[in-house]
Amino acid sequence: MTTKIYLAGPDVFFPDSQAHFAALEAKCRAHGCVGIRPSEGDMELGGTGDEIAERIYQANIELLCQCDAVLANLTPFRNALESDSGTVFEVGFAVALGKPVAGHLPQRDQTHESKVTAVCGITRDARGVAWDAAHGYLVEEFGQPVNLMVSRAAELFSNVDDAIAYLAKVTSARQAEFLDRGQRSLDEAKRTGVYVPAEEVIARLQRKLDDATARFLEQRVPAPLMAAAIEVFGGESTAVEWFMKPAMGLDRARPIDLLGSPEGMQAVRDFLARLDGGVYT
Amino acid sequence: MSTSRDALERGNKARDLRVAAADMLSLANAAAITGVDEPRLARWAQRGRCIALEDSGGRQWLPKWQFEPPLWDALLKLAKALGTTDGWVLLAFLETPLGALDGVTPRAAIERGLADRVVRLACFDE
Repeated sequence: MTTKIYLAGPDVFFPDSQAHFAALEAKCRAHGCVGIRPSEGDMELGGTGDEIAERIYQANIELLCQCDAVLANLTPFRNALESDSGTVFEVGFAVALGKPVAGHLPQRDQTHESKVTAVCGITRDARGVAWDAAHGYLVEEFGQPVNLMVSRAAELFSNVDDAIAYLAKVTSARQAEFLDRGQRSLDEAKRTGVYVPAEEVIARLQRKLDDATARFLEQRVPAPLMAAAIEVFGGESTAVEWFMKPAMGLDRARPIDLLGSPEGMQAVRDFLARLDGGVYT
Repeated sequence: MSTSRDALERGNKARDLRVAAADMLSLANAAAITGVDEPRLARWAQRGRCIALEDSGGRQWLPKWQFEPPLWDALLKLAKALGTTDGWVLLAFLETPLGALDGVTPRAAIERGLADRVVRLACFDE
């Protein structure tokens, strides 16, 4: 299993971004991993600013979901103190998915407060609390290299190679643990004689998923709307699938997610009526 | 002396009064609440899949409660059992207390989970 590492960072904005990514990919390969570049949005497809932005956003979300880990360039970007906001979002998204994240920034060993001092200056009030002299905002003095929400979410390094080495090690350990768990289950099955074939486990999980989906839909979809969808698609399972999948005709939203508002309900109703008339976009 | 015209007028007044009640939805509002387009609702009414009531002005009204699962699940069977798709006939059946249901209306019985019993009774309704 080759580890796929998403290459997050403002690197896409660098004038030499292609060469930069090629170098990062080579570093990943050196550790037995594959570096995955963020999407460039298929610019040749054209579209409005919103359409292109949405395409890039969706593509990057998909890439983040597919990757095993995230390497984040947290070097301050377009200012002297803070990391690129898009990168920080991607760090949070990956952490929420349970993926390991390694951040790299040359000033790893400097504290955030020392950087604020250098850029803004610091004043202290009578209680000794630090405030940045340029804006008058509180300065956290926890000795973190970046904002604590990032420093506690990601493992931080001062150079890229160490960050990639860390991700390779962590993902490899996770894969080994996964295989070990499988082996232990197999040994246990041999010992007890109780063996559940993978197909049966998958079938059980599928039944659980189907039940949960049905309950979820029952709560969210008015019974007449489900009946209309069954009429249009010719069966309950196809109708259920339609509610749960992004639809081109709904700007890639899932019908189920639109039913909470009158406008969304109307969009779903109109789209279903168009589908019934044979219009698919 | 009461004429058939008077009777018709009284009937129209009673129907207009019923569709003015708070539990009635216009076709547009029913479409907004259920997420089903108006033409489909109208088609469903024609085949007894839902109850639509015409007032004296020709406008259609739909009882809101029919779209809740217990009623919704029973409606089509009920229409078949009664042998009608006429909304007013279906409504009259649902809202008339029956001795066979201990004096409660078929609608209330269905909402209490007795849909099968109501449908069986409907088969014998004349």
